[in-house]
Amino acid sequence: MSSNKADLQGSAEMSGVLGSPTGLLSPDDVAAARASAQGLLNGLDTALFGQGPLTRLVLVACLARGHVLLEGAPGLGKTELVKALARLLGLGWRRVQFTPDLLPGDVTGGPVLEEQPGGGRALVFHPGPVFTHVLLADEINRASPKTQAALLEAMAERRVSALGETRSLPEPFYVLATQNPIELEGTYPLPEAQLDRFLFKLEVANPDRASLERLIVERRGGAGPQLDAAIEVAGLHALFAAVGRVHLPRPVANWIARLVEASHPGAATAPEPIRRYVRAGLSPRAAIAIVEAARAHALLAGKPGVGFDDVRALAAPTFGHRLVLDYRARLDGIAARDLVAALLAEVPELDGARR
Amino acid sequence: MADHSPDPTHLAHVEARITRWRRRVWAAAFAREAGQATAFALVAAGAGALIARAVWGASASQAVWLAILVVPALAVAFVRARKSLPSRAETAAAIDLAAGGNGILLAALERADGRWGERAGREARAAGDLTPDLGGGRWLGAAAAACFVLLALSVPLGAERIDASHSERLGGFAERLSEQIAALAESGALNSAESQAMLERLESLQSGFEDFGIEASMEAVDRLFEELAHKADEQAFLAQSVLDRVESGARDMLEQALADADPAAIAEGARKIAAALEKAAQALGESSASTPALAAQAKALAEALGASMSLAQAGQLLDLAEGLREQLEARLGRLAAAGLLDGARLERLASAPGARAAFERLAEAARKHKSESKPCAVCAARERGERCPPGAKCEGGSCSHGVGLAELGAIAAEGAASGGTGRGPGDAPLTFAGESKHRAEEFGLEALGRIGIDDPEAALERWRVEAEAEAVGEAVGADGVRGAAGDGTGRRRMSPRHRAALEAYNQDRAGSQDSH
Repeated sequence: MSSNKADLQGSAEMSGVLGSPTGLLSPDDVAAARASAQGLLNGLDTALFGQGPLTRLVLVACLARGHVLLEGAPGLGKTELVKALARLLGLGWRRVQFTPDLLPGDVTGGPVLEEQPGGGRALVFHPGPVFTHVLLADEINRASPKTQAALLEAMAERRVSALGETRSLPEPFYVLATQNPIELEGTYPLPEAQLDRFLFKLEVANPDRASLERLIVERRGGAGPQLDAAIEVAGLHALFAAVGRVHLPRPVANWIARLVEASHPGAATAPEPIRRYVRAGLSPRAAIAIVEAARAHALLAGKPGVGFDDVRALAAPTFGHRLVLDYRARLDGIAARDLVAALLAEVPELDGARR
Repeated sequence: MADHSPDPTHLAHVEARITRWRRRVWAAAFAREAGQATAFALVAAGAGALIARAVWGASASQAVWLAILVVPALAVAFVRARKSLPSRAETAAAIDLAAGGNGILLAALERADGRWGERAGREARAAGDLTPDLGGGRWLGAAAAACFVLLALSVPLGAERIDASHSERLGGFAERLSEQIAALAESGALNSAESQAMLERLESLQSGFEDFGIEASMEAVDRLFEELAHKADEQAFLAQSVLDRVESGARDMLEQALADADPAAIAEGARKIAAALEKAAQALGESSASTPALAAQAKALAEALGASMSLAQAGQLLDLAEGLREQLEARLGRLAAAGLLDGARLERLASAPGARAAFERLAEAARKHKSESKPCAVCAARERGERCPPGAKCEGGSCSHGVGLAELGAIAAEGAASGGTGRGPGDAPLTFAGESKHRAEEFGLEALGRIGIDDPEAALERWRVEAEAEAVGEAVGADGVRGAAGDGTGRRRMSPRHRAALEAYNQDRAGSQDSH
């Protein structure tokens, strides 16, 4: 029994190295964190009717401190969602409407020659809209790649460099970008490396009839609900700390690693659809991303550790936009979510699937 | 708020469940591996059996040993199952997955956090018991492989294939068996019903040669032959016992005649002979019409001998016994000619030479007495088949009634050989008792050449050790040790009587020399 515990605890130490050096969250801590997160979730659901899965995933990304790419037709409530999230978190937010003539400086800000009070002129840095907690990058695919890159650098590094000076962005910092999948003329699709910066790519679906009915009844003129902050900043940081302490069991980590490995078409364990339709598989950043997201998802479910079910629930929004599909996928009408489903189906949770 | 104080018992229960799962997983893995390994081993055994029988002519009973391949296959399965035994962490993951895969059980176990023990225990219970795959398909494959092995062993191949030469040889065996059945029937060892049943079995065996295959056919032939040989053995044993009893009776008669001429004992010997003859007649009666008559005659003679102690009647009785022995020898000889008895069995039937000589002498004396002596009035009347004259008595002396016993003693005293190599008292020829005639004829005198050890050219000379010469007189006179001069050798070689005479002579001579 002692050796067996050593076996289990050995893997625990390894997972401790990965980011959870202390013990498990106590059931009380988990319950408290869950209650806080549930308050946020309830607020989001109040702002956006009939988008429960979407709001949940947005909250998960928020707790995992990841950025979200929302894809959907105009008028589905993407902006409302971002505003609601910012209000509930008690954070400031800004919106940037991306257009083809938008310059990087319009996003990040830049030096402006100004008259000094004592005389003379100096270049003074004027922060752009990116210097906020929650940034809504509307129709991000309409901006030029240069502008997109400027934003995506800020997303990855959480800081902005201008004129040799580096300025950190406020903490926390979220980018919720939207893109319209219909009007693609004159757009610049995000390259794969930049897509990788987004934790999730979520599709905003049309609300069902009941939600729509409720919407037109309760939201006269499209006015949003009056939302107050559901959590203090300290509480938010406590939530982040709780997410960091959610345990990642070794078998789950092993499954994630095998999923990422099997996503490459050249891998021996790659399923046939992956071999056929995928040109480039998942990066290690994808593995890190899903782990962090799974921690938040587990906490939201009231668990002290990540389970296989968390990974399964988050695989499509995390992996889908990171898979680089072959032209044959488009020809055959294969979507990324189909390939992720194939991946989940073909790679067993247990190594070797010994039963 | 619920009490979430650490409780190690819940985790202990989870550990116990993990142990149980691991055992089941191992058992299932072994079952699967064993099924697969057994299937492979049986297929290999079947193929090997086919090759061994078809190419090397191995029999099915030899080829069936190839099934022993299953043993190492099971050992391999055991090792492979051990290798596939999941670790506790893997088992815990499997249980967690079976419970829905929410990770609580895994986290609690990895962190050994008793605060989540109760929840982990619930998850473990929700997982239920493992219902592992026991590899039913593989066992079906093993069953099919077993059928293949049976087929490979049963199909006529190699040693079992009957070709023309085998068929001809089997026919020869059957013909020989038929002759043996006939010989047994003639000798009385088989009655008519038994011989008919044997013939029917032989016929069915002959008709089934092709179906049985050569091995089964040979086994059946051997079995039938064994039965027939057993019958012949029984017959030989019966004959042997009868002759032993006859010989025992004759020996008793002779010994009693030699000892105290007890009429009752002599009569007992005669009755023994008669009883043996009667038993032989019963045993052989069906096949020979003469034997019952022989037995009846012997019985009558025995009764007459018991009543009158006639030497002539004793001789007749022994003649009858000798006739019976010859009949038995002839019958068993037929069985031996049919291959059912060996020669040694027949030789054992021959009576010992000493006893035979005694019989011959007794019979000769009886015949001589009968021819030379004048019967008394009683005997004459009896020989004529008339009634004895009134008041007449047997005269004795020269008559075979009464005085026959004395003559029996005289005949025995003449010294018939009593067995062993030697001539015994009298001038009887040298005999080699206990040897068969064939072996006895091999004995003879042979003049041996001089041993060449004294030949200077002999190769053995180099090994010769010559003792140092020692003077006889010195040895005796020097230390006075008796025998040191070699007289011990003389003592060993001389008979005590001669040695005493020689010592007396030497003493006398020594005394005379001293006096001179």
